[in-house]
Amino acid sequence: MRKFISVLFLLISGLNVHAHLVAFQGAVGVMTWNQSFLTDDWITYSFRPDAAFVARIMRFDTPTGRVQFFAPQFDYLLKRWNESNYQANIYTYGAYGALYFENKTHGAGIAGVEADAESRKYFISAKYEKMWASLGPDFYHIEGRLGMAPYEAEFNEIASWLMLQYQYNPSLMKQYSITPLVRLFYKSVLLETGVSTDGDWMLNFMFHF
Amino acid sequence: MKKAIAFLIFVCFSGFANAKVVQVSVKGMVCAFCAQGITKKFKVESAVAKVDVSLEKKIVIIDLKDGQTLADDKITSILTDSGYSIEKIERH
Repeated sequence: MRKFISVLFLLISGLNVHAHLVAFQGAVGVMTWNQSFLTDDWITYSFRPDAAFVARIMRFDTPTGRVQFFAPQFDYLLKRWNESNYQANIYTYGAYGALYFENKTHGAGIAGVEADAESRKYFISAKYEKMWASLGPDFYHIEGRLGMAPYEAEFNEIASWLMLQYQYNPSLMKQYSITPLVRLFYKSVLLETGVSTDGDWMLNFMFHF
Repeated sequence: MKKAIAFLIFVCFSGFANAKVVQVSVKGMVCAFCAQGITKKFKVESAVAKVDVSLEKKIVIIDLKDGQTLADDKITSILTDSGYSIEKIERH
């Protein structure tokens, strides 16, 4: 219990999450997160249990215009805690690629840290991500999630989670966003949908094989 | 006496080698979406007939084909590559 509380404290006091950025060795994942002001699409290949190569496309709207970012990315699992009733993870990642803004293409890098902890009943996650662009806007955002499962689904059942997501994006059109959402998954397919407190939709999808 | 001991060892070893069901207690297995790799990786093993996962009991149950075995090292390697830790391996 002490270990669990320590991990939760670490997650809350740090910044942190998505679903797992690195899956089982040999897994290919397709992930897409979509909101009106931010979309993020990843294709991942976990070549080790703790590392993955990613092809990433991101689009976000700033007060000065729309930004698109294309990059190869490297994800790394820094630490995993496997315990009887929970699992917790800390990941980091970095990418360098092309940023398209105001009809020009520039170089840009991005780095992030994410962490999550989950039992069959509770989920908590946080993420901090920062982008450095040679020209155009720098960008960072913070995201956190709390979740609870209304029932404890078995391996071959449809699992459902009720979650609350908080985002802080000081460089974007939408600086704050709080989104209650539903996460559903069955086997290798995961779907999330929700509407923020100010009416923005969200639709996320993940699949791995 | 020596013969009896040798016979006992043979019987025990035969029983172990021919265990049809392997039950593995796994730590960290709380999410079905994340644990899909476990069944995928075991199913490609030629010795494996069926794999079941119980999140509630935190176990993976591997049914082996007749006369087939799957070494503890292999089981450990598959579960580690899937992102989990092993607590115990039992053969029935």
